[in-house]
Parts: sequence; structure tokens; C-alpha cells
Amino acid sequence: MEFSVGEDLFSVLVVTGLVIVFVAALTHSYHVYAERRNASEDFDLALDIAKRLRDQILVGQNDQIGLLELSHERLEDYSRILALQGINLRVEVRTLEGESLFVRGPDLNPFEHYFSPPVGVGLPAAVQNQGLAVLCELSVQVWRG
Amino acid sequence: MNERGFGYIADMLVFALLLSTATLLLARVSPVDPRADSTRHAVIFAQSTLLSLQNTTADQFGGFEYEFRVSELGLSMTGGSARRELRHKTITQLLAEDALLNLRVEAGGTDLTLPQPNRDMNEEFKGFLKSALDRMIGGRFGYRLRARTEPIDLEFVRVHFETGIEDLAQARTQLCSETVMLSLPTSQEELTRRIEEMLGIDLFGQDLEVDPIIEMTLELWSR
Repeated sequence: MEFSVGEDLFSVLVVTGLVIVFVAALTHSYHVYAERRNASEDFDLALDIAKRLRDQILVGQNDQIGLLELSHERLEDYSRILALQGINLRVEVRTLEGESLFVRGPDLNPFEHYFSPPVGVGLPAAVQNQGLAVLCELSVQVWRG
Repeated sequence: MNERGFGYIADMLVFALLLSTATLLLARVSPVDPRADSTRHAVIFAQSTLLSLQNTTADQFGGFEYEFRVSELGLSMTGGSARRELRHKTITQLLAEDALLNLRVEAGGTDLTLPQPNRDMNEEFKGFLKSALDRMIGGRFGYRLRARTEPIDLEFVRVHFETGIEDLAQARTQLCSETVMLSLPTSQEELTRRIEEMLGIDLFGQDLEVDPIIEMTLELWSR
């Protein structure tokens, strides 16, 4: 094999450059594809968790579905089960005026989760608070770690 | 450049073309159907909204009251004691009460005008319900809420209740429709007696199927 400097070497540089550019583009496309798929799966997971919290975990003692009773213990147990599967959970209950009634889970730093951002779902919910049913937003955030 | 150099470039260009095709295909093919995600979100959101309406009192939205029209009954009242204040009732209890107190009677497709001392409840409750739903749904979706009773068809008239509110501004496609059945705060016999009083007839002996149930349906639309 012989190289004539200035011709064959130039063509090798050109094609190597092209290959690098296209492989980078392919990798990026796959990354975008995988990110979309993960975001969709995480959103589905967040919906499942929010539904389970509403219908089972935080349901009041008289089993009245739709009226939540805030319990750190029950949420702690449920979070532990999710943590075993590598799923992190933050639950917040806010009144419609924005006052926070209940928070469980770590504060989220946007830079810390730059590569796997948390996915969130918010649902309206009536919450038992000091003998009254208060209309709130149940906010569930899920991320893998 | 000699022939071999052109050969390399041609090979690599073909290779690059294949890679470009693969990249484009990956970029275009979405691994998820965004409509399926939105639909599932809408279904769970609608269920939560309906559950919240059943558990939240009017007090949460500033209370609900209306003027009872004593004059419709041919009576007069001094002072403002005809105002009914119902802040302690849940929103679905108010809806059921509205249905019971404002049953419509139709003959030949036209509403009959009967004394309705609680007529104001119907109008004011619509506005109240709209502001409650606007706050709960908060612009995430377009919505349409309908509530209706099963029509009672007599020989000459039809007795039923139907109401609806909606905010479909900028709504594109319907994502879901969720329904709950609510009991009216009355028994079958009481409801029959109430219809007899309204129409001034005796329904005894008529094979009447009166179901004291109201059906509430919430549709959510994408925006």
C-alpha cells in the first residue's frame, strides 16, 4: 500500500472527517430517541404513582376514594418500595392558593438532574385538613437514580 | 487525485448516505405516541376532578347562595330571609339539589312554564360550577361538563333535567369522557309525588320507571 502525500492522504482525511460527523449525528439521534422513550415511560410511571396515591396509599380511613388523608408513614413505606426499584419520589400537596400543606421527598436541584430530569404530574384532589375537605393539587415528581 | 482516491471518496460517500438515512429514520420515528400519553393523563385528571367535585364543599370556592323566589308561589315575604345559603354542601350535592328543584317539563319539544321558585339556583349554580372547574382544570385542558337525569316519558309530557357548561376555547380534539352516577336526595316514591304535584295529575296506575339518579359526564379536550 502506498500513499502519495497531498492526494490520498487528503481523501483519507476527508472521509475520516465525514465518518466522524455522521457517527456523531447517529449517536445524537439515538440519544434523542432514547430520551423521548424514557420520558414517556417516566410520565406513565408518574401517572401510575399519582393514581395509586389517590386510590390506595393516601385514601382516608373510611375508604372514601377521592378524599386524601396525608400520612408521612404510609408515604414513607411506599417510597421505600419504589426506592428498591431505583425510583425516587417527591410528593407535594398545595392548596389552590399555592400554600404548601405537605411535602415528602428531597428538594430538586435542576442542575443535579440535568441528564435525567424528573417527570411530574399534577392532579386536583380533596384533602382532609383539620376536619375540612380542602381542594388542593397533588403534585408527584418521579426520577430514576 | 488518482483513481484509488476517487474510489475511497465514493465508498465513503455511500457509507455517509447510509448513515444519514439511518439518522433521519431514527429522528423521525418516535418511540412513543404523544396522543396516548395525553389521553391517559386526561382520563386520570378527569377522574380526579370528578372525585374532587364530590368531596369539596362550596365553601372552598367562596360559598354558594341564591334567592328563593317566594313570589312564584303566590306568597310575599318581608326582609331578605328568602336567600338560601348553601356553602356547607359539596358541589355534587348542589348539582343533585339543582336537578331535583329544577326539573323541566316539556310538551311537544317546548318547555312548559311552571312555577319554579328555585329557578335562580339553576342560573347561579352554572356560573359557580364554571368558576370552580376553571380553577381546578386551570387551562390545562378544554372541558365540557354535562349533567342529566333519565327522561321520564309520560303520554303527553316529558320530565327531565339537563344542564351543561363548557370552556372549549382553542380546544382541538376530545381526549376522554368520564361519567359518574349520583343519587338524587330523594326516593323513587317522593320523586313520583313531586312530578304529580308539578303536573297536577295522578300517576297512580301508570307503569312509571322513575330513577332518582343523575349522570354527570366530564369531557376533556386537548389545547
